[in-house]
Amino acid sequence: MARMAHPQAMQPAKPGPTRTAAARMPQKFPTGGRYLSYIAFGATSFIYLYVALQVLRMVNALASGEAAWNALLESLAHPVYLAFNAFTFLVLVWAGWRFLIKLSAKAQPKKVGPLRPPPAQAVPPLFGALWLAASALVIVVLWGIFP
Amino acid sequence: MKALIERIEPLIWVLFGAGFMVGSLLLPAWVFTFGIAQPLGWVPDGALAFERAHALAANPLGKLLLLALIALPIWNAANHLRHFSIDLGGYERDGAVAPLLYAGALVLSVVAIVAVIGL
Repeated sequence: MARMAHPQAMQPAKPGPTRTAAARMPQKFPTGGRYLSYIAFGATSFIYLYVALQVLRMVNALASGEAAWNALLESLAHPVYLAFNAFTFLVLVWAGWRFLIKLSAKAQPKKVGPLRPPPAQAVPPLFGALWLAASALVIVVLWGIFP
Repeated sequence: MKALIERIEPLIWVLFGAGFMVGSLLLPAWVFTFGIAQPLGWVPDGALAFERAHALAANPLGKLLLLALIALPIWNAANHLRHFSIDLGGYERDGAVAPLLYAGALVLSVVAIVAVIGL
């Protein structure tokens, strides 16, 4: 198997004689035009980190016993937590929409192993259906409807 | 360190993609349930009682799901934060930011594995 290509493999070993202008950020960057939503999408990583740490906190509470678990559930009812979690929910829905519905079709490779991915226009509805099904499954299990 | 990060970059992008997929599909309903519905009393009585929650979490599938819900979004956040930092501050500080974020993600992943095994 061939060696992996270095990311800068095509870069000349020495700078050439042609002078090139230094790269510059576009004028509207970072808050104008479409850059704002791009930057906001990057900032959603803080929210993903927060939620992952909250899940870790829940696991620790479950491992610590009933009193710790009940205390955690009670703490989530604090108005500040409630407001922040409502904000977190909206951010996750927006980021999920952008990732699953808007970006997924554009991000498909030409081939997935021996298979071709579905047509680009079919990808957003497929991911949308998958998103709804996964959310319904989480609700059904956590709300005690099943099992 | 830069050479090491370039070598493991494909693995980091796999973890990033998996984290975004798991986070997008499962976390909104999770946050809605625990962060909004449960405090407002919309979740049926007993559904999130300790015995039921522990039984759900402690079975092998529950442990695997919990580990995925913790570790994968952490790697997603680490890689996205790295590129967020590059977008806003350029490549100059990436030599310090990238190792810090990936090391943090690795430590938190190990903490998550230990916590989930301990259930």
